[in-house]
Amino acid sequence: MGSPTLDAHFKRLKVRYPDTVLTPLPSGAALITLPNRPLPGGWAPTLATLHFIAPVGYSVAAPDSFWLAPNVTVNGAVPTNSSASQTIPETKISAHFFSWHLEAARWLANEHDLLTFVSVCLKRLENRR
Amino acid sequence: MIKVVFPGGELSELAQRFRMASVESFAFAMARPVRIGKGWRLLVVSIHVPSPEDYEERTIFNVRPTAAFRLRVEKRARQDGMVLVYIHSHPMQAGIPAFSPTDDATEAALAPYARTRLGEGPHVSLLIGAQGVTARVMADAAPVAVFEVGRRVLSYIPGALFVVGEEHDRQIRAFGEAGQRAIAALTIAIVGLGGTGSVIAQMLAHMGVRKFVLIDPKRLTKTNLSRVAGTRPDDVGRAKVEVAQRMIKSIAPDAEVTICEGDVLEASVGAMVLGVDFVFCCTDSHGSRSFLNQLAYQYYIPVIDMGVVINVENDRITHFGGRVQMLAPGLGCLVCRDGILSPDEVRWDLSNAEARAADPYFNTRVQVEQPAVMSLNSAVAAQAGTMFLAAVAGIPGEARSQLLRGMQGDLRRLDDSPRRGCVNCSKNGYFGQGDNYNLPKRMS
Repeated sequence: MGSPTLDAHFKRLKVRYPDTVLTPLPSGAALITLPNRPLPGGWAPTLATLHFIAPVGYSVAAPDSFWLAPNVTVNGAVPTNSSASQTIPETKISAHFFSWHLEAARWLANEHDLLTFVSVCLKRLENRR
Repeated sequence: MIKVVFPGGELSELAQRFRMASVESFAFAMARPVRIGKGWRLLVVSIHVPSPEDYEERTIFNVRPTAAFRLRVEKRARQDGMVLVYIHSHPMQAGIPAFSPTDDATEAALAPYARTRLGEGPHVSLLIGAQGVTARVMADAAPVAVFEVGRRVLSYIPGALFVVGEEHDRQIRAFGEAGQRAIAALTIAIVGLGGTGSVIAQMLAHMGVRKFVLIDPKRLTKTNLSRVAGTRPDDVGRAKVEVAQRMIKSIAPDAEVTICEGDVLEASVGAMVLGVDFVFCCTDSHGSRSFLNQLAYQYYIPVIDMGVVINVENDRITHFGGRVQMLAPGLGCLVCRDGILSPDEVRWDLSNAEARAADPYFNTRVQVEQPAVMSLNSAVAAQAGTMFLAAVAGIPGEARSQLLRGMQGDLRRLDDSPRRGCVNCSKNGYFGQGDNYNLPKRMS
């Protein structure tokens, strides 16, 4: 009962990241989890689980922000625009929240997908601050 | 009421083909059944026309497809959980066609078979005559309405012979009695009873719409008095839907007006729209517009969406205008063109309290009251009303997406074709999916 787009995009994501998990949330949104992603040099620990939410109304509604678990540091410091030990909405998962957003109107419902958003998250992590 | 709904122009194309034949013709329509209250909405997803060798008998008085053809389609319908519409023609029968004694006898034998083989869903018999269409539940007197929802919205509603009054004489001179009856037979929802919605309500009441569903969660403020049609100073604090209801009843005392002071994104309120025949989307919430944009294709319920903008910078208007777009199978949707719906606004509007609390941007964004002027709202509403008449009453207007540019003083027709593979309006998206997917809603 999710959405045809979310189903199709999740299949595409599974091809690239086979261990990805989709967890339906009570609101109708979905938690997307990519376990044990290797982080770029400078980050600690070296592996972390990436979480983000495909919101209600996806893909007309864009994903926004992401979490890493466990809490992370970069070059020994707390990353900018992030906060440790936040509970992901509608879950009991405590993780490191990254306030990371697409520029206004950059998300295109008919062109972008979950892979696009994963690459946006990974791009943030290449920025070692 | 049971409603059979054909998307795009599929019924008209089939009827045209059947009417060109001098003998009776037959086809199956496979439809996805959707329970709506005590009624059904049957969404046609495919039409199966026999080839010449698939007919066992085909004369001017009778038509019978082969058992092999029937069994093939019936098996697929059963596998896919569909109901079947058994369609045949009386190509010589003028006016509203009537089922013949032969039809009665055939259906009496076929109905128990269809229920056993295909399940208890309402299997329907549909008859195409030389001009009209009529339908009934197989071997049953239960009335069935037939709709075609696309660029045009055709309706064949049993018992819908509304008296056409003198008050509508001048518009009947424009689009005829049939058009007037088509308007009067429809149940129309207006979502948003503010600047544009109140003008639409007033216009439709005058034009002869007699069944309304009004939805808006807001109450009237003093600043609304300058642009919400039908308001009085002592209405401040009253529900907008109540004010609109009073206005409609003052114009058309016989109108049935159902009101709901709620948000269409709440599940119980959104469900009210599933029972109507046409929707005017007059809300400026991107979430509500996204909801109706999906509903139009998922349930084949035509929507006219409209929006108005006045952009002011440094105390000067930089541009003003509006847009009107019809959303229906075969027409492009609000997602086909980039930039109409904001992906962030849609997410915010659909987020529940917990998600909003966790979103720092939501909590810091400032809601600014936008400039609004009644004359511009009315100009956009007028285009929407005329588009409605073109779709429903047959006035010869083809525009289904229009842009009003106030500074230039022009009205442009925009491309209304759907985007191939669109995530919303194509068969890859929600097209004809009915209850297979939830409509977006905001949980409390």
